[in-house]
Amino acid sequence: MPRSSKDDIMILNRKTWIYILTLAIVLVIFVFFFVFNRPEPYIVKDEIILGTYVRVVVGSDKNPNAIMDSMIREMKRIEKKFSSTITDSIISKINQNGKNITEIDQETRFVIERSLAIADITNGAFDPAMGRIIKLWGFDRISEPDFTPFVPSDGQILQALSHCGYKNIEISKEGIYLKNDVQLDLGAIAKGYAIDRAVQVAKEMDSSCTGYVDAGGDIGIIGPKFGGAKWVVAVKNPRGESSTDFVRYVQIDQGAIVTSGDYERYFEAGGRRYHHIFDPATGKPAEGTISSTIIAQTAMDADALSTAAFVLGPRYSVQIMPSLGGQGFFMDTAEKEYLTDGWSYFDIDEK
Amino acid sequence: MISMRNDFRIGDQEYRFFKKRDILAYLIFFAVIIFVIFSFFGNNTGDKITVLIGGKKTYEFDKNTKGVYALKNDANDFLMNLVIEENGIYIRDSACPLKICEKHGYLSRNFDAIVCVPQKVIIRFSENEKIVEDLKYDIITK
Repeated sequence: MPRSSKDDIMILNRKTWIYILTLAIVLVIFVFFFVFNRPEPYIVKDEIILGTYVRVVVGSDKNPNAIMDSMIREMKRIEKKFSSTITDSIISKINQNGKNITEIDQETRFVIERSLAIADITNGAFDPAMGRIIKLWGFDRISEPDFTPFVPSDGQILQALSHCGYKNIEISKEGIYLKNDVQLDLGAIAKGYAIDRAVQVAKEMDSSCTGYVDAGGDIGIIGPKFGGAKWVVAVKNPRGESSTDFVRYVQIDQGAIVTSGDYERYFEAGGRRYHHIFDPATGKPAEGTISSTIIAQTAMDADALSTAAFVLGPRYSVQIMPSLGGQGFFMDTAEKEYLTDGWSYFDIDEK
Repeated sequence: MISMRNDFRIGDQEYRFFKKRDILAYLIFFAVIIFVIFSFFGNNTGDKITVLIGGKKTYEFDKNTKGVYALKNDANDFLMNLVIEENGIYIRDSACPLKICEKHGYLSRNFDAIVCVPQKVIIRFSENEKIVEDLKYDIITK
């Protein structure tokens, strides 16, 4: 029986409805997969390297997983090379050879020469030849499960201190040797160098790569957040009750920020706290500072300068750090805050 | 004016906008939408806690499953107890001599992590694998 034109209209309407529904379903699936379910702009990996908790955050259009793996591999390479506790590291080799010359490659030369330069400009507040004191107190093994807290006597400290001091490091074209039985320990700069190298590796693999490297609170920036914004870095309150109690917030999109504090690596004995930042003048944990934060162009410099500033104390550090290439925020034992003049450029609350 | 009626007439003939099969199509459509929404929000990691031991994801706990959980490494050595309480998540009875992980206190969100370096343990909220825009801070220097 032939259909009427009215039936044709209805059939057309129903086909249109089904067509619209199908289209809507396809649209919803499309939105889900390509908008909501798009890959995260950053990939994150947590590791324990260089005796600390390392977080690497990478954002890249060019294989971010490969970049991440290369960065972590590079940091592990540096740990192996510059650790004073790994027996076949170059530092162990230099320490074993002592007054006999050890040949060194360009990278080792660069790190040691930079250490010596910072030791010079900080008048020895940062000292890469404090190995005897660090070993005496046992802080070279603080990341090991068999670490045993030990407080040496004054006599033992003086004895070890007589075999310390960066001026006993001699470096020449032939190599390096150590006088007066001193021991090298690059712990206060190698972490910064490892961060710098990781950042460099990321940028070599993708110049538009963004993200950051956080090695136990020492941070190197790869590039701005989401390609344009600044990363907000919170400075921990050294005497805060909770882990999210902060004293300052700064914004950075390049360079590095490093904090040295008396509250991250320490042990307690006889009701006293002994931290890991030694005053080269006394051979004991430095007093007068509880937190020292430095913003610098490289993590290596920021790492060494924050240690030096911790030893020198806030009053002096606030004056000299800008001339050494670092902007700083310091807190003394009375929890009084000190800011260098250039710090306000980064500080959210000071702007 | 919009009519809520399902039927209409053209001349003497009566028609309906929706027939039974149309309603079926609508049901399928809404089912797809609900599935999509649940798939998306079902992946919410906000209540999950990840435990990495030696760089490997070893445990994952739900924040709402209260209790005391012994964390062990691959060699079955006891490392520490993870406590999940109404008030928060923290560590006790650590086998590490320093016990810094115990002094950390409650684990908070926003990139916080309880870390025991000697035993190579990292405990954090699973959602911290994502970098988001709307936090007051992105990184902590300490």
